Parts: sequence; C-alpha cells; structure tokens
Amino acid sequence: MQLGRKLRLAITIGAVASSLSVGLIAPTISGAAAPSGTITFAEGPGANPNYIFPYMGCQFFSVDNINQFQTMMYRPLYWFGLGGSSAEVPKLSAGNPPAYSHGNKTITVKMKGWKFADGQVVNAESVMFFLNMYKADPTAYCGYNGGYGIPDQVTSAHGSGNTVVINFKTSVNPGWILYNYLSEITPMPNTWDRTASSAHATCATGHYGAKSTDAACKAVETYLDAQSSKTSTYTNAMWQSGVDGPWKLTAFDSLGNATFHPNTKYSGPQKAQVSVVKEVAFTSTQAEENQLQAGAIDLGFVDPTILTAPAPSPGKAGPNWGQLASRYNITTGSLWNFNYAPFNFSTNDPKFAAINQLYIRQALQTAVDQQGIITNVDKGYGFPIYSPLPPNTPSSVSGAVPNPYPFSIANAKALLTSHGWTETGGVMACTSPGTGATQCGADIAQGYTLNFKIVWASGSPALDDTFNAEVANWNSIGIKFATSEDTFNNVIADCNSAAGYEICSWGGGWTYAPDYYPSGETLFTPKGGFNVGSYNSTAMTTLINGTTFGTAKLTAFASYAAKNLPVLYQPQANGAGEIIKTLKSTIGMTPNPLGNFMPEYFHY
Amino acid sequence: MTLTSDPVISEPVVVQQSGDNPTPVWRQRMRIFAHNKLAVVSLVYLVLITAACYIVPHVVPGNQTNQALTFGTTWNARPSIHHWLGTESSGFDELGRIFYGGEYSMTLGFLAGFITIVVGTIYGMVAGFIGGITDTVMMRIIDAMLSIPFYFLLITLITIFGRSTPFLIIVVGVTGWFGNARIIRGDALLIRKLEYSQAATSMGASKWHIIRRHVFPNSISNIVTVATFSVADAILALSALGFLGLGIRAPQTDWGTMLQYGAAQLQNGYWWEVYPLGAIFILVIVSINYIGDALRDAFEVRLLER
Repeated sequence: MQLGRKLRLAITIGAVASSLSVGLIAPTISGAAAPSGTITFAEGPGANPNYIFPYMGCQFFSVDNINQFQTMMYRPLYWFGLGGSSAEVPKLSAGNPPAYSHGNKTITVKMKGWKFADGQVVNAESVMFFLNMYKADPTAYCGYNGGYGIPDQVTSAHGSGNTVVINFKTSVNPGWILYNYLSEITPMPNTWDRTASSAHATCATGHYGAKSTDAACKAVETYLDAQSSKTSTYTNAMWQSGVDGPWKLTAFDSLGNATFHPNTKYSGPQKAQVSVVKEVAFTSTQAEENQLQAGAIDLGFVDPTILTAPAPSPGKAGPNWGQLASRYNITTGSLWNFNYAPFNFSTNDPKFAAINQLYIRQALQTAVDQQGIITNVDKGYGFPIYSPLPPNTPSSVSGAVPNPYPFSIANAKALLTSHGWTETGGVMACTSPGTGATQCGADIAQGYTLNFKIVWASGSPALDDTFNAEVANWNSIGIKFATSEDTFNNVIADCNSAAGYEICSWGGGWTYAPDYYPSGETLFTPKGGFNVGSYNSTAMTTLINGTTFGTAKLTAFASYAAKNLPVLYQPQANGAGEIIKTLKSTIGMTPNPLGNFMPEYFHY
Repeated sequence: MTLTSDPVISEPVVVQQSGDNPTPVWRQRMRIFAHNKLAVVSLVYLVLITAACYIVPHVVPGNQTNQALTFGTTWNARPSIHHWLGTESSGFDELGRIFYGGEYSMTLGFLAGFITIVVGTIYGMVAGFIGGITDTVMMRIIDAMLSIPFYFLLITLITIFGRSTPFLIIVVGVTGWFGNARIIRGDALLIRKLEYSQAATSMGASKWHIIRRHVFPNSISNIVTVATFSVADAILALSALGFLGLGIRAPQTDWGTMLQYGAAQLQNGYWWEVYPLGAIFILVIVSINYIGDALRDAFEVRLLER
C-alpha cells in the first residue's frame, strides 16, 4: 500500500468550504521581507469556527474548526496536506518521523524542538499532555474509536526531553497508526495544564494511565472545554500562549469572524508573508457572492447554481462567473472525501425498524439520481459516490468498487412492493407484516407507514436543490419526508444527537482528516468516534479489522459498505473556489484535498 | 406601510334620487366604487391574477415543485414556445412558478392581513371606547411596539421561532396591527362621544352592545379601507422576508423568494426571472391600494343619498 497517499478524516462542508481552502505547494519565498497585505477568506455558510481547543468532541470536529482555524495556530504532531497533495509533509510536522521497533509494538517519536509562542519548547511533555488526556477521557475526543489504536491498544507511554515512547499491546500496522492516530495528536503547552485560571494541574507531567493523572486530566479537560465554549476567551493569553503554528488569533467574535496576525516565533519553515488574515462569516452563499462582487474577499467560493457554464470534466473548472471573471480565477479540485448522509439506526428513532431494513435503504439509495444532481445542480462540479472511498482513491489502497444500486425509480419502488408494502394515499404502508422474504421485516406492524424526517444544512441553494430532488424521488416511490433546515454547525449537533431524523446531512460528508486512512473504523464500528447513526454490523467490523489490525486492502470493506448502506451515499459537490487575481504563489494554486487553509504560502 | 394618513380627495358622486324607492345602500356603494375607473381596472386585474394563481397551478399540466423532474429541462432557459417566460434557476417553468408562488404570497398575505385587521380592530375599539387609564396604557404599549423597527422585529421572531408557513402568517399578522389599532381607536374615541352612543349609554346599554351596534358599524369605512391596505402590507412584508431568504422553503416558493433568486441571476442576463414577476407583483400591490381608496369612498356616509 502507498500509505504516503493515504489520508485523514474530519467533517467538511465539502461542496463549499473545502473549495475555499487553497493550500499551495510549499513555495518558500526567498528573502526576509516584512509581511504585508491582508488576505480575506470567506468561511462556508453557517460553517463558522466555534471551538478552539484541539481536543474536541464530534459536534466540533469540522473542517471549519480544524483545518481552517485551529491548525493555523496549533500544529499537529504530523502534518498532512499541502497544495494539491494530501500526503504527509515531514518538514511541517512538529515531530520527526516515528521509529518502529519490537515488531512494530513500540513507536518512538523525537520532537524537533519547536517552540510555543510563550517560549516553551514543544517537547515530549507537550505530546504526553495530549496522550494523558486521551487516556483519561477518550470519548471526549471525536477521533476515539473504542478498541482501536490510541489509547485502547496502548499499554504504556512515557516522555522525556524530546523523546516520546509509546508501547502497544500488539503489533500495529505502521502506516495505519501514523495516518489515523499519531496524526491526531496535537502537542499542548503546559500553560493549558490547569483547572482554573490560576490552578495548575499535573495532566502533562503525570504518569500515563495513573489514576491521579486521569483525574487531573479530566479536570483540565473540563476546564478547557468550558473555556473553549466561550468565544470571548479565544484571544486571551492562555489560548495564544499555546500557539506553535504560523498564525496568532488577535480578534474573534461570536459570529465567527476571525483576525490573525503572524506568529513571529513560529519555528516551522514557511513564515507568514502577509501581515493580516481575516476569516469572514456568512450565513448564505448569496451574501458571500455579494462580497466577492464587491472585491471584499480574496479567497471565496460561488454556489454552482450561479455559474452559467458547466465544468468540462470532474475536477476541472469551467468558465468563471461573468461578474467575477475580471477579478478572480475560478478553481476546483478533488477532495479526499466521500459525501454521505447518515441514516439513524438508533432506537431513539421511532422509525428505526424501517431504517434497519436493508431493502428500504436500498430503495432510498436507488432513488438518488447522483449523476442528474451533479449535471444539473452542481454544473458538473462533482463526483458520484457509491462507497466510503473518496473519488480517485489509489488502486494500491483499494480496487474499484462498482455502483451496486444504479438510479431507477421503478426498481426502488419494486423493492418496497415486493416486501409487503402497498401505497395508500401516496405513502407506503405495510400490508404484509412479518419476517419472511416478501414481508416488511422485524418490528414493522400492519399499517406502519414510511413517513420520515430529514434535516440538512441551510444557506446553499445547490444543497437545497439536491435534497429537494431526492425528496421528490422518494415521494414518488411512496416514502414521504418532512423536511427541515438548520445551520451547518447545528446540523452536526442534530446528527450527533441521533434523534429527530431518519436522514441528516450537513452537506459535505466526511473528509478523511485527521485520520487519513479511509478504513472506516470511525464511521462504521459500534464504538466509532463519529458513528452518529449508531450503525452496527459484525460483518462490517470484521472487514474493517482486516484493514486496521491486518494489512488487507480496503476493497472488501468498501464493497460491503457500498452494498450494505450504513449511510446514504450522496454526490460529492466539489464546489467552485474563487481566488483574487492579485494573490500570488510561485508554484500556482491548487485546492487542497483535505481543506487545509494555509495562508502563510500566499503573498501579493 | 402603504397606508397613508392623507384622505383621498374624491369627486362628489351624484346619486340619483328614486322617489319612494331609495336606492339600496349597497348599490349606492357599488356605484361610487364603479365611478373610480382605476379601482375597477385594478379589481379586474386583481381578480384575474388571483384566479390564475389559485387555479392555473392545479389545472394546467406542469411541474412546479418536483425538483427531480427539472433534470429533464434546461435551467435558466430563455423564453420559448415551451416556456413562455423561460425557466428559472432551479429549472422550473417561470410562468408556472409565478402563479404557484402567487398562490402562496396571496394566501399568506390575505391571512396575515386578516389577523392584523382583527387584532387591530378589537384592540383599537377596546382602547378607544373604554378610554381613561386603560386607553393610555394600551396606547403606550402600541407606541413601544411601533418604536421597534418593523422588519427588525419580524426577522428576530422568524430567526428565533423558525419559518414554517403557519408561523410566517402569525408573525406577520401579530407584528402588523399596531397602526390599524391606532386608526380604529380614533374612530371609537369619536363615536363613543356622539349623541346616539351617549343616548344608548343613558338607556342602560352595555359597553359590548354599544361597541357592537354603534361603534363597529360606524367604523366599517375605516376598517374596510385599513383591511385592504393591511393585505398589501402583509404581502409586501412576506415578500421582503422571502427576498431576505427567510420566506417559504423550497421547493415551495413565494414571490419574494423568487425575486431573491431572480435578482442573483439577473447579473447573468436572465431578465425573465425578475422583470415579469416584478411587474405582476407591483401591479398587485398598486391595485390593492387603488381598491382600498375606492372602498373608502364607497363606505363614506357623506357620499350616500339621504
């Protein structure tokens, strides 16, 4: 497997926000001219940063919080993604490449000795701070997957000076552990090791796994979580003392408008070349497009519905919108992402019995006209998605996975009628209860109707058109949906609550970051960190284990996931980014597949 | 608000005397109304457009809400023999969507306008007829509410409570009656001091009886006039919400929402997504105002024969 091309996870608004982030391929500008100029970056509609602490739960685990906000300040142990690449970038990582020993049961990480803004060295203690917290309160971090990797497979860990040693119960796949677990670690400063503004704790310095350490870490996590929930604290000394990235946050408001200035003490290779970076919050694409027309945004996006000409082919940009063509370049690319909408398998869901039936999920998936949506709604700026693998997944990672459920309204309806459902008043009702092959299935009584609820993120006409088209098709096969919209951040929380919906969508699916290898344990195992729909399948777990504990390719897992439909696969809209023409780079501009926003590579 | 405080200057209408059989009042009122040619034309236009909005989407074959079916059409297509006003930014037939959206706009407008006039009339009559400290307190409440910018209040409530269709009607209704209450309260204040009200009071009539038998009938002129303007105001308010992205949720639509999306596409030269609807919409509002003016004349007692 070519692990160098494999990747990571995090929620993204996909269609829009990912296209905003334009990382460039390491153009180290020679000379030491003082940074000058301002870059203004448009946040996705409703996708404003709302959490600064890198140890976060799933409701905050988004591209707008991680890749376009936190990592500008707080650099992870291992950095992935630069320019058009999603591969690891050793020179941007705070740690040297890990060394594996004892039959891959021991990993040794040597830190480079970078410094936080307050002068503290980013050392073993900084890494142990994160590891101790992870051990003490694993479920508070969205990357945690019960039984997998760190911390569940770790027997001990200790740090001294610049060296961290982690011991595992069993041999680990070196690539998988690097791409999905070491990649999640963010070194944290000892100024954060506190339980009140003046009460220092021992989470960073405690012994890994000791009860006293766990107690200290839980208290620290509680305090920092509370602080992170108050946006008014983001620019204070505590949060900014922990900056080891190229940018310091100097202003932030509750709407999500952020201002960054260069961190003059950044130890990494690429220093900031502009003096100010502003991130601007929007609630709708129209509002953002108005600002683009006024020239007030340097890095933005347009909703595909406004474009007058389609993309020539997937991943290629077509002609720009006439209103912007003279001032902006349009760009698009391929995301390390698959788009989906979770089904709600939770018993909290009054319709869980229906969602548990594979043939009903098949009917829903078969009625999704992905190609029609990409062509008409997304103007060609998108890829169809039939499995959890991103488009353009290298063959070394997985073989091809065909679409098991081609679009067909007739076939979708036949799946229902052949399982004991009869359309009454436009809604399918169960007329043949039971568990036989031609009956409705377990826990579905006579007269049970297919009335579902769906919620999706507001603010994007393209997303509205997408789901309105899908709902129309579902209605035509007798599955009625009550629809509602909420903001991007709220929909993530709604999905996470596993109540009040049968299908939910924040609009962008899952970007594999910061768990870069698309092995699925986060999304589809019973204790997966972001298994928001409570999906549970022994067969799926077995196949995932083959790729995580073993070295199997992802083909079998992905094929099973394509057929078993743990989620509803959605077309991946890549969106159209807009870059003001005066913004420069020595090597050109390519959208980053992971959604990284790295303004230190931009200059005028 | 479209309601003007200046009285409309109308030419006196010559009403024929008819000897022992005086012309019924309703017929006299119709004659007065008919004398206002602009109002008659407006009424015809309003009836036609309303009928079209309520009938066409239900009887003429076509797709107005099924987003999936638009995949077979060209989106943002120019006017043609197949689509007389072209197609809009989600692929629907523009003319069909105008009628479909009009049904929503008018239904919501009429219902919200109805709420404003009912609430405003009751509130105004109670305040004006009871008078005293009750009137003072009730009017200060009105003053306080009127001091809050109308659209600020509207948007705040929509943001907090959501934008379901029933709630849109209720919000526009309950935030639009303050001006109406003031006008009706003025009538009640005046009528309760007139001789017949005083006489009724001295004969032991209850307040409710006086309001029902004297105040309300003699305020009907203003109530009818205010009602028409209230409908226009409600349609405008709902359209403004739609234009701000707070209107009916797709695939349903209303005129304000259509204008919002159309305005964005206007920059691409897709004029058919704004100008025809804009013209129809403006004429509806103007028509309602002309009709309101004529109704005021028709209900003006001084213009009736004795």
